[in-house]
Amino acid sequence: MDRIARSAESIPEESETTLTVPWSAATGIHFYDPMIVVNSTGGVAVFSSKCPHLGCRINRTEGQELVCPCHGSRFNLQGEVVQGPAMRGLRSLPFGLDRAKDALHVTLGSSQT
Amino acid sequence: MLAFAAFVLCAATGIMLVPAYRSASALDSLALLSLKNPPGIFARSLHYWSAQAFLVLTLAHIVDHLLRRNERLVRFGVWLRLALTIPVIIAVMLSGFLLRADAGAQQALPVLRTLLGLIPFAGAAMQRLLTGAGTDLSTIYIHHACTATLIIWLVTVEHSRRLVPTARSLAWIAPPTLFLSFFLVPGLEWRTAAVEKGPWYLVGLQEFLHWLPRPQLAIWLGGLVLVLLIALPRFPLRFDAAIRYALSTLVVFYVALTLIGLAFRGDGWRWTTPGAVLAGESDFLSYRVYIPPARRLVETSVPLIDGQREGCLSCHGKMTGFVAAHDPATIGCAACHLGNPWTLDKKLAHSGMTLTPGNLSVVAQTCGASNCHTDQAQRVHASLMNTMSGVVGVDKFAFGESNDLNAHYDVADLRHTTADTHLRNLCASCHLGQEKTQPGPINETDRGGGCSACHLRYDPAAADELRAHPASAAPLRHPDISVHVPKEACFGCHSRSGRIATSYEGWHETLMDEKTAQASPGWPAQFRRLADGRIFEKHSADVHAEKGMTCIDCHQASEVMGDGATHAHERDTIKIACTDCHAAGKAAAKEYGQLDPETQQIVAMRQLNQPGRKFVVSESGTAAYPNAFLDDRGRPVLSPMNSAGLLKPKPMAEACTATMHQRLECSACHTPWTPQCISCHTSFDRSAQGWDYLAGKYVDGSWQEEAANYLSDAPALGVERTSTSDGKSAERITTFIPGMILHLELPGGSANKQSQFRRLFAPASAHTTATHSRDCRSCHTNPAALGYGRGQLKYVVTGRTAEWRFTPQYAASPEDGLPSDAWIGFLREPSGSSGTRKGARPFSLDEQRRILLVGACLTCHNEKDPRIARVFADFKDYRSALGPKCVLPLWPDRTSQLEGQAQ
Repeated sequence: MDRIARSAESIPEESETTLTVPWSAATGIHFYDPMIVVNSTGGVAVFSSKCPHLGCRINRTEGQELVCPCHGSRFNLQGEVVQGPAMRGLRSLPFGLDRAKDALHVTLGSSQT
Repeated sequence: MLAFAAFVLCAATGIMLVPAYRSASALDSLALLSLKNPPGIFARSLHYWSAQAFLVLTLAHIVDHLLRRNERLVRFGVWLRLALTIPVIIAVMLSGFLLRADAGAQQALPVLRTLLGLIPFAGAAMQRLLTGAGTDLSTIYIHHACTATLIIWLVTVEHSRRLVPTARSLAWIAPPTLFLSFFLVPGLEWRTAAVEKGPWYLVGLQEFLHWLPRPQLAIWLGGLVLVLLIALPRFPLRFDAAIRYALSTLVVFYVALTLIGLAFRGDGWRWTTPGAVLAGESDFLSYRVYIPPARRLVETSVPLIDGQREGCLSCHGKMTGFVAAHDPATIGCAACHLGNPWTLDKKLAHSGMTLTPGNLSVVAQTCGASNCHTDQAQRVHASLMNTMSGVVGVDKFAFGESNDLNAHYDVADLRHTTADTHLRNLCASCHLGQEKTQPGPINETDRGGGCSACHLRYDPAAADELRAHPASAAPLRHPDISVHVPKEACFGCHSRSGRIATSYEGWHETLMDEKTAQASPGWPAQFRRLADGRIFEKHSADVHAEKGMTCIDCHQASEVMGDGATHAHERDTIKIACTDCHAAGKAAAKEYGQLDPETQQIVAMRQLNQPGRKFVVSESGTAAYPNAFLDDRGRPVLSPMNSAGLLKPKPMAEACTATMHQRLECSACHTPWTPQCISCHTSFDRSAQGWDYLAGKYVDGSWQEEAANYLSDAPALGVERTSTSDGKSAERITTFIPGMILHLELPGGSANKQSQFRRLFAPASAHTTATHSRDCRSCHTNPAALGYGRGQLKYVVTGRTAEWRFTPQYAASPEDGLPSDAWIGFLREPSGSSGTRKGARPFSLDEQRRILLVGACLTCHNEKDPRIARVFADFKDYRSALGPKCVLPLWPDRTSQLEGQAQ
């Protein structure tokens, strides 16, 4: 979670690849078209919703797992593969949190490494 | 020739669709076609079925050629063109699937692009050339309508040596295609399903990819098959059998994969049964002749909601009653109620619809859909309001089917043991998983409905609407769906069992029938008849109820909806405490930014956040109050859900913090009455028909419950071991009621020695809180409080000796010799299990003696006497407060006057 916490300290520059969503609406596991926001008492993480196997949009959970509807890959809430066929975890997306404006800014299209 | 005819039919219907289809907004154009263009719907259906016929007939033709070994009879160039046309045919079919641009197609497109990108050397170019970029489907459309169609036509012309198919072949292909087009109209997938399957002919590939961590292998294998096919006529004849065997094996393998994928794959690509697949969502709009909607509907405009057409609003557009987040103008109707928003045919639009979206059987698709309340919908399945674990566990314990009161159960897992049938017959209507099938608010006869059970609130207008309109009319007022959970929703279930909802409002159950109650003084103001016919009489209400507080003003979201973990009993889920708001000192609090996400969300919805405001958190540190915050002096202030005013909870009294009473729960002193049933007879009537709430049908045999007497007194006190905030456990003195003093006649009947007797007391929060507390005597000289039952407890002094004597009010039960209402024997050490919770027990003999020692003082001294105050302040030193006239009790065993036991 340290990595996640650090990313939350800075708000990314506004650009075409930045998506801003209401922060207060994102509790638990929240799915948006391009991303998945995992917001629990343990911290916040944002992942690309694109399955690293073949690119289907991951859009549902079973228990504490994120499930791909096309080929059944499963990921835990840290984005790690629990069950294939995917071999890589979900791509983390850099984000910034502006509590004053109730806004979560997420940078799409670039990997957080 | 039949395949050629199907192809021509497909091409012709494709041309008919051109005016309606727009590749730049493909989904919207098809949604509009489905909604407002009846001829277009039929043309699309014909296009679909002629394409399927073309594919099936072409595959059959290829197999026929291979079986006849015709490949060596044609020139290699012709064979090459024919073989290369196979991927073109798959491409034209797949592009047709993609051009729907619905939820399934939107999932398939990135898969196709990824696979094309894996083609060695030319991947990126193939991606761009064949599928274009982004979400624009114009490249795919051109290839579908022109490139691939032209190639197929040219090759077919060369192969058949005809420009057009014969009239006879058209006459053969048209009837079945027209028949299917009338009866099986292909639909559009308006939302992503829990399992996304591609077109049927590629499901085998999809299944194959499920097993392939490296999808490149699929590309290589596909290429190899194509090369083998192309090279088939050029291989030496001695390899012919081997190649055909390899190709046949691959075909059989692919067919098997297809069947597995189609029939045995369910949600999340997990294994399932063909029956479950068939019962799931269908790709087809209708299994009957499509009947175009009325012209007036077709001429009605269909609004765009969040980028998608919402046909429901053509009829239901005038509906009111929503908060902004649930306004159909924001989320439409189908997002909650399912059905089909892309047709104006009433029956089709309502097909697959749910009247109660909160029902847990559909909640993953409705309230818990991927961009709504996923977290809560997941948690609520494990919540006690759904599992009923405590009810099931105690029932099984009482029936002798379990010895573990801490075991976790789920009502959905009940089978058909004796206890199970009892629960299915009498108890299983009170859980969130109970399907609610009729509209209307929760009451004592209509429960369940998952999320809707709590979050659906009928205001007077919605209630009038419900009464006024028959089920067939389109209503105009929708009940509110929001965080405003009405107490009536809780009342429907919690008016039974511990009766906390009725007690909270100051109603006590009687055994009267309505006629008797009507003849009683005080009718009707002092009586209340519930929907299930039970008559209640007026008692004092809980002080929180009198202040206008509802259940959720105290009980937080993670308690009632669950925290995701499984719990055996309700007490295990409680995170709040009276002292959170009634703290003696400063209440614990956190700023908005430090709250958990869910509490933040509720604060935001209730618009209670202000700069610098600190919200009260529970003593346990595991819950926060979105509706309670600190004022300028650091004291808690509560904003009730149903009131615009603010409440200022008082700090606890000094007596509450005294050393001697630190083990007492607040309820031990502040519960003036609890409903108590001291004799219940439960039997099984084989001749009656009983309702099985889980199966939803009548079954042979029914359980009957008969109560002999309902009492309403101050509760007994006892000890319960509970967890503390530091993760340890501690014993606390709390309130107990007769959980069951029960004669149980099992199905075998008393003649077969199947009669059982149970005397189990249950820790219970009565929810009848009063500001004033019980006085000292109501515990220290009250036999009912000590668990002996009602009666006369006298302190008899004879010279310099004295003893307590007890005369019970109720006769002794033959089963255990205790008075009917007792928990334990007078000044006896309790033995055996007598509580409905592990860790719950009556007072030990030592504890009884200590309580009665103080009680002895109170027989002479007023509780405000300074000597009593000294004993209260330091019980260990009670002897120093004794005067010359004080006579301490001798206990029945004459062994001690509590020497050395004061602590």
